[in-house]
Amino acid sequence: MNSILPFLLIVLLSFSLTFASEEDLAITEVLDSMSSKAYKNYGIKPPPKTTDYTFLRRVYLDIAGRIPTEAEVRSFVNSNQSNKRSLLIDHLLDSPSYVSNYYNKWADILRIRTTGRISQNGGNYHFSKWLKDALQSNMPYNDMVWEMVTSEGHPWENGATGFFFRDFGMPLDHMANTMQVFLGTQIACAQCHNHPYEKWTQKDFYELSAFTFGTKTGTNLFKDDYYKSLRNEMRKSSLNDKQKQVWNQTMRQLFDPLRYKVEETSSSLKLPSNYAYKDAKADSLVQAHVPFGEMPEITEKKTPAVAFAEWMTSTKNPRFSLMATNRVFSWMMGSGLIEPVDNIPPEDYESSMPELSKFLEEVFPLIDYDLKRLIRILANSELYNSQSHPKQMATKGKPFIPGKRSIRRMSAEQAWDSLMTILREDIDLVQPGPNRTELQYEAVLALVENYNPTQLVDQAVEFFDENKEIGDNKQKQGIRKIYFNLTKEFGVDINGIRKELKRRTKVESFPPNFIRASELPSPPQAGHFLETFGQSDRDLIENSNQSASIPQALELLNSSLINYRILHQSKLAKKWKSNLYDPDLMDSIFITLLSRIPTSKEMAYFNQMLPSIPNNSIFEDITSGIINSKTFLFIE
Amino acid sequence: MIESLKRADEISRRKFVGYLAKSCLGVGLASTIHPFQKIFAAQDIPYRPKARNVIYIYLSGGLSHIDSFDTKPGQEIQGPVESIKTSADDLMVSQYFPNLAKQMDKVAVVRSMFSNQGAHAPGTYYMHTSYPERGTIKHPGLGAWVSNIQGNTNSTLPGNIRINGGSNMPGCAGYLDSKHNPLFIGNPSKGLQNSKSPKAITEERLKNRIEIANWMDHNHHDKYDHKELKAYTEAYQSAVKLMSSEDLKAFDIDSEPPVMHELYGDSKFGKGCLLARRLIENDVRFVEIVHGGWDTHNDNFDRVEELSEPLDIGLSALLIDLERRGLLDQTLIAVGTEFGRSSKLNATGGRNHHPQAFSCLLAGGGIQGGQAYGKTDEYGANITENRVNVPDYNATIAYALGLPTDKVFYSPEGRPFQVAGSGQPLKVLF
Repeated sequence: MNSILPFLLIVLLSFSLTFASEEDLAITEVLDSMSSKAYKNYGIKPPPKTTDYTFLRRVYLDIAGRIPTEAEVRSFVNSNQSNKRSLLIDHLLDSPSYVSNYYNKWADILRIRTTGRISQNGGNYHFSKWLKDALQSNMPYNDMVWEMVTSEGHPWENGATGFFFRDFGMPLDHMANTMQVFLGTQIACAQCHNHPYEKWTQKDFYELSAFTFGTKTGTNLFKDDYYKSLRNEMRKSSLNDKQKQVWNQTMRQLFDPLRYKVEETSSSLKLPSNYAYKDAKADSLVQAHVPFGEMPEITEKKTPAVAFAEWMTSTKNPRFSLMATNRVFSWMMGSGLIEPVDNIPPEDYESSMPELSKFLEEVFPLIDYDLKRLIRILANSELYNSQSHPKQMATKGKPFIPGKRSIRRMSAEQAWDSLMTILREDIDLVQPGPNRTELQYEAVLALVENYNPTQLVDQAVEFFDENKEIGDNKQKQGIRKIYFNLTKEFGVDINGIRKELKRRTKVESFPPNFIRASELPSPPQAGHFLETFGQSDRDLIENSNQSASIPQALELLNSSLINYRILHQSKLAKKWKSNLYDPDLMDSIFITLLSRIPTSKEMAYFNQMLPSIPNNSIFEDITSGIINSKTFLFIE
Repeated sequence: MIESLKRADEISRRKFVGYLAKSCLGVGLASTIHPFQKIFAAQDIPYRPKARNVIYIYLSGGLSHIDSFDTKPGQEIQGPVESIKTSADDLMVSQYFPNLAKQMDKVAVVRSMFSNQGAHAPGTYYMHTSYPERGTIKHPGLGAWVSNIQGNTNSTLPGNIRINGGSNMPGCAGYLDSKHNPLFIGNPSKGLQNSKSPKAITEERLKNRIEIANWMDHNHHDKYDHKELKAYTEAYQSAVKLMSSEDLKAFDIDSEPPVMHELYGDSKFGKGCLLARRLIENDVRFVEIVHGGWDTHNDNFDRVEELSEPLDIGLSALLIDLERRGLLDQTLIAVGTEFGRSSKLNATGGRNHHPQAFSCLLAGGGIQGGQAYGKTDEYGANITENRVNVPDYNATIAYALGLPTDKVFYSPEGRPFQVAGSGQPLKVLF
């Protein structure tokens, strides 16, 4: 296919003195001309434009990750500005909701776990913080990938290292995941044997893995000078063996975070001993080599990981931009032009709009891999603004069809964040409480920085002398407590977390865990709303799901979140509690839940339902009924 | 009098469900083919499987085989633990299992279990799925396979339920459809979350709410007619049916008489066993009960004694109770763990991980009780006879249920998998 670039360059040049957002609108125009052409090719009528209401709900969910509040709906609908849709898109891209929403999407792709001991010590907290910062500052996509793939150091020094820790001790799987996530190339099969249907061989896989095989994810705690001398000091102390053992175990856990470090080593990769093909010998050393494109140079100054990152993010590697733009397209339009998004065949992939795929692939580097600009270009397009097709449902693996925009169920996070929006209008402003994982890291660092090993051992000796009779577990807790007390004067107060949470619960109208999904631990405990609605367990890439289940129905029908919180404590509930005869009530209910006013048919249906003397119950039942309908959970 | 009133209430509730299901949700119930009919029509399996249901007890952390079911009387490594005689000749267990000892004639001990995974997470994964953990695919657990291949027997209750554990433990639906995921019951005393309307919501109001939801959907029905949306209609239908179903009582262990609570004991594990029995009675196909804390790196003997007590009471209660109800023959009870523990004690009186040899149990469901399969050496360190790999153990469970262990199934990406990996069932145990 010919490049679409020359035409594009003309477009860009003619707008070079204007703002990026105007430049983006010009690019959108090119995109629109392609969809018109596609309609002609497919022989279909262009679908009608959505109403403002439908657009509003859609764009809030897609960019802000939640439904709009009543005030947000009213202000948009009442605006007379002709370009109000574009203005709203810009506004949402600049809002904190943007970070929250796209964090959820990337956390699903990158499998960021913030619960469980290994995840906590292993830098996932810092990884999640790094990702939020990157989205907040709108770091260019190629830089984001570069920072992850070439990251080195401890988690607190560089949060991007979490990308490596996620596959702690599994360098081969790590390479398979990296290729899938950033190049849409699934070569995991070739880890054990030649790929059954594609051209990848086991040797290809090993040669590729050789780039990052030397990048180690953990170090031995005993290599750490501080920890080593701490243990030595203890050995010399007056405590008995049993006490020393208890203390050692406590220290091994406490200082565990120090173990996690991404480090370049010289360790080299060999083919497996059961290697069965004739192109190489079993157990032979593998030289790093790329399976397609130009081989990057590995020099003394340039580590293999850097060489790999150069190859992957190079503009000469068409897969890099193709993969990313197709993915963002699928976020905005419900499905990718090429599906599955992360399994694009090595050659001759099929796109439902080949010209558009190519166009986006070439545009992305020209707008400096700016994710917000890419989203803006797509959100302003005719494709985004057109009505969805009644028979079209977003399904993994089914590509986008021009003129047939699909409908989708809200993701677990969108559903949760939307219910939170109904409950508390300040949802974007509430901050999560103190984070134990973060404080634990800081405490360890504060101890290392401010206390010499002798001081810590002396404290322990004193503690054991005073607490000889209590059990092992009590002793372990006790030691942690006195060490955490030491860090208090450096501003790290772990022992105070519980108090702080109690304080918050008292002063705030909602529990501390009624915050945006992006700020909650993940995966959550069993039975949490997010789990019930299919949030990823973060075990596999993009493992979230939108399938129906019985517990979901039970949750929306019977949970206290709906029946106690929303039906009694939301702004909406307060409205009917203060005036049951408010003529605006039905409008408010519809706008708050469905981001639109009721149709005349709906108005008639609900009006005949209202008793002559209305009561709270009937409004509770109407609200619950609508939340339990598909019109709430599905996005047009 | 009171009893009959309760009954009348029950009947009116059930009528009410029927009304809701038919009139509000618009769909009647399709009759379902019995899962075995499907299997036997397609396959010709010479062994006629007796097991319909499985209770899978998972001892997470790694059970010390030496201090439980593969004792080494007279050896120094045995420490203070005595071996006791059981109701099966030549089968001894440790003193920590006095109740179970009386039921061992129903139990087969596999003493030659072998795993190649020495850490908890990969070991647990391997035990549950028969495949080593990979970063690129998630393998289904046995419960999900049963649900996928044989379907549900009870039309109201989910076919795969996990008690005292959540989704963080492997062996869920894996790459299979999420409807095969276990339903998690975090606390057996509390039963199924959100299964009842709040007190203020009368049946009339619930009906009203569902009618509103249904009307809204109908209003948009022509607009959005798709199977994904129908799946929601079905989920609501099942949920409403479940809410007022008599089967919901299956989750309520409080309705058991005191004598049953006494039999199963007061522990969370015991209550889990009692709940499992109620679920099995209601034709739930696969119930897993998690009993954790077996990672006895410190003070092994004290810890094993502590942990064994609820296991001893709960498991023997299950065996007695199921037999008395005539359900033991159709219920396979399996007791698994990720690995055994080292014969040598460490400095803190604990035993470390030992995947080279460990013990698992099987009972009921056609298994010949009172036997030990496989042997370890005098220290319980290495297998000397009839090594059983983890997938073989799972294949045995699958075989008892009549699941095809050599049939290849394909994941959505086209990767081939089997119910118990490469495992071969231990047919000699039946």
